[in-house]
Amino acid sequence: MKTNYLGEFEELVLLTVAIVHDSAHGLTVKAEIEKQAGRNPLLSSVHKSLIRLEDKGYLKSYMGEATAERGGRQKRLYELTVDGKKVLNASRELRNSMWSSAPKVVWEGGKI
Amino acid sequence: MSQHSPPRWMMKFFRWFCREELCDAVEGDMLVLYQEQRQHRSRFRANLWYFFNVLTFLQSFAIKRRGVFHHLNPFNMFFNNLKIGFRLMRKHKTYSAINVMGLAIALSAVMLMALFIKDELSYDRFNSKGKDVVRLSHRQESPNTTQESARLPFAAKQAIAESYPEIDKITRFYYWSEDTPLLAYEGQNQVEQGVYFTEPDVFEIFDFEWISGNPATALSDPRSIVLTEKMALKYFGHENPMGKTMRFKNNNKLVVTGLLKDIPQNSHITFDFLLPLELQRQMWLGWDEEGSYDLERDWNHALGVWTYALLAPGTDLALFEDKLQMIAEEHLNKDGKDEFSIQVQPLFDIHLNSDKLNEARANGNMVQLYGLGAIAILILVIACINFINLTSAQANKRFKEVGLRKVMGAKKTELVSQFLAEALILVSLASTIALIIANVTLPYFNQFMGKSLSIRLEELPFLSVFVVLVVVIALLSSLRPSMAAVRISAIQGLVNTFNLMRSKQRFSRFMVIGQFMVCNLLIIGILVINNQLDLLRNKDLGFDKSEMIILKHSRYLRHKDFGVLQNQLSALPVVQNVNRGYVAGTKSFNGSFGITRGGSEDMFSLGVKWVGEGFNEMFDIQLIEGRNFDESSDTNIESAILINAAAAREFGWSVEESIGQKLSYHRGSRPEVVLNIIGVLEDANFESLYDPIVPSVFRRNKSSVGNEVVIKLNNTNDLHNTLNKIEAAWTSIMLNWPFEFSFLDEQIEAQYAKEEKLSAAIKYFAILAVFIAFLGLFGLASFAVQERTKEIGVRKVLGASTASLFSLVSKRFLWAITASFLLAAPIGYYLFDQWLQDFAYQVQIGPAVFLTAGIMSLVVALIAVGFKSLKAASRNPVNTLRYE
Repeated sequence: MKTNYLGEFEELVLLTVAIVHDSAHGLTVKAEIEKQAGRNPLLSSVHKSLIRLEDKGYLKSYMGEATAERGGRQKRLYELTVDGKKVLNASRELRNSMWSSAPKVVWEGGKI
Repeated sequence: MSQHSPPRWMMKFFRWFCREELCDAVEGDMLVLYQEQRQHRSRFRANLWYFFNVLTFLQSFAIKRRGVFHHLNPFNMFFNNLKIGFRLMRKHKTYSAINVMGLAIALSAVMLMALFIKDELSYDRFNSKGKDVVRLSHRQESPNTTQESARLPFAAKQAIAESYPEIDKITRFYYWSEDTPLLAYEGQNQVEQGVYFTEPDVFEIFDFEWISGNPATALSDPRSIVLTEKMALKYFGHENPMGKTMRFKNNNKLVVTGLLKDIPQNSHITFDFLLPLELQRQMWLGWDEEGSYDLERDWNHALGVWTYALLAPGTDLALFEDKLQMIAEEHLNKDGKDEFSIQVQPLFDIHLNSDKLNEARANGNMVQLYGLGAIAILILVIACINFINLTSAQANKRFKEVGLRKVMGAKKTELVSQFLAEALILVSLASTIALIIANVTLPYFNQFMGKSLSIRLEELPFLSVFVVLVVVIALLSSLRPSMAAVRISAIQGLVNTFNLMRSKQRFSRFMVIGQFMVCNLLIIGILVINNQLDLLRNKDLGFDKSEMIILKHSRYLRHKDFGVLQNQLSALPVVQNVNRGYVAGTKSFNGSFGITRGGSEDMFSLGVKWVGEGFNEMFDIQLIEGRNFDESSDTNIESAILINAAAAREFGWSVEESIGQKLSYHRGSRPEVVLNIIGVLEDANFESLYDPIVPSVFRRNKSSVGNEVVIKLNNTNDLHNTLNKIEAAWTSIMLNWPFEFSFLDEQIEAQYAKEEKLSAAIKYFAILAVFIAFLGLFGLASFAVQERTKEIGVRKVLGASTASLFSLVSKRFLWAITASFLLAAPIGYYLFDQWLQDFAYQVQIGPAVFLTAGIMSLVVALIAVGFKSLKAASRNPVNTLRYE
């Protein structure tokens, strides 16, 4: 099985899709990242990551409604796949276990 | 709230490159954001923002995938195209050879002519200050003639330099072609042709390259000499010439003070030696009767020097010329007549746009240059038409191939690139061959045109311009047939090709008409030029120029010595007559003559011939009225003159009433001489046939010093021996002057050499053009025949005769040739009639010329078309029907 490598930004986008849940498309993901992480990614980077993640099988997409505000263009809505959820969990567990492996003294400072 | 929308083109651009499944989603997002931007930003900033965002999507994830196949290696097909191209060339050898050779020959001819034209246009450009340099010359208008001379009187320089602040530097060049400057160093004693007198400022105006010596001081001492590398080698070998002493005219000792690089060929004035003008002045001081001669005060316009001035930048030439007339008024138009004016001529105009008397060198001719340029372009056009015709003829045969390729899934661009690759192969092959041909033929071309052109590395960019030009033309021309081939459907290509070919052929027939129109024009041109030159060559000049020897340097013969020489030579049985004077040749002297009528004096400019005893028998000129000079009875033989019939006409007299009239002769400031007309001679063309017969007077000069000796021989059977005897007589009298001579007829013919060379060049190139057109027609005809092989076979089986088959194939070509001839004839008549206007004696453009031209082009076409069609018509139908 290939290694499920996630880039930092990709992981962020994947999590954001989970957060916005029902209405996850380029615009909402970008807005949520702004709100949560305080960074302002380019629209193109967001879309690029969404497409990559879909290619990797962590996301699936379907066409949403078209509003007047969007000039009659349909949204492409994304949601997590089972693999997507797995990979997020895996990455979280990996971090947790690594966090716990680090000696407390690193975090608490103090003398040895 | 109304919807804002970004500029249409930005959205269009986005939609153009973006993947379809992504388009809506992304564009929708961007439009929402754009609305936000518009709310708190200017429209321009918002648009800018939008465009920036569009650009950020130019990434591989968002860009459309084109087609089904992805070209990972574009070279793959390219090499395949090349391979197919080469295979095709090998398969259709005749076609390829015609196409390549035609183009190569045309291209090499065009290259040569381009080099020639470029060289002609480059004259004097090496002078860095050239654009501010002008030549000052003069123009003399008398009632019957206008003469423009390239020179000014000696004294004009001083007067001009003093009165005009526009002039930065001014200098003079003096050279007299009849002078015999004898230069000697140790054992060598030779008359040099390239000895010019000039002044130190010359180096401030012209950029002659120095090897050693100081330009500022080299000519300041009157006893100095500056020479070129070539001459230094001739006289001093590999020794350093600086400081050596040379002897000039057996008299003056000159010190070499400067060494120049050889003067570039593309200078309108070239020389081997430069001597200070001051030396000439000193040599001439007081040579005249009063003993007061000083060239700096000589306003005689007949002699004179080339005068060049470096003007302050930005001087208005027309204005300056106007101002100069003050000098002309003051010094040249003394008797109150406005005969003389001074002209200003930019240096860069001299070589191509000046044809005055006494030019420093035979100049080029803009008209001939245009002629050559036009032929170059026509050759190129003909070759390109060939290319277009043959490529489309070949493309017609490849509809099947195209159809099959389409079935196999070839895309349009791939088909076009196939055709382009083939054209590229042909063109690059042709250009390479053209460069080789040009290189090989250049020496002959140089020899022929009297040039020293070379294809140097620096010329390559210039030459490659032509290659690029032809590549572009060829590609464009191959684009047409290839696009046609691309447009057809696969089925059309594979099944039904007939209708498609028809329309193509109509187009190529128009091209053939154009091509042969040009050829007809050129053939008419060749014929007219040839006839005109024949006329000049064979025209009865009205005098006998054969078996006539002119002795050079014989001006230096004293009168007493001339008697001795005359006696010695007359003793030779082969010598018919020995005379001294000038009657015919390439120099012409003019003088101003006045006739007093009713109190006022009319002035005429007439040719002056100095003659000796018995000159009219010698030149075989008939006396038509009056009497000849008579040694015994004329008390003052110098006051009697003969005139020619043209002069009588000029004066408005009949031949009879001319006898006994009086002319007064004006010469500079000297007292005028009254002359009695004692006889009238028939007209003869003593000088160039470009000009009408000059009204002339014939004078006897008792001393006849200063004129050349002319010897008339009875026969030229044993010329070598005769010349030896004459030389022996010469050397016994003239110890210091070498024996040199020329033949009168050769001298006269040499005048037309330049014209003849140029017309011969035009002739050869025109023949080349016709040949290339012939090649093209041949190729086209062979395609036409091939295409109809089957048809011919069927017709033959059904009983068609060879003749009818022949006409079947060749008819439409011959019609095209006839049409082209009908178009070309009136144009040719008009063009060459214009050209002939320049000549005093013009050949008639009669029907014979057109008939010959028409027949010639028909014959050329018949040979081109006939060969293939006859072959096809006479072939056994069994073979032709088995064709597929």
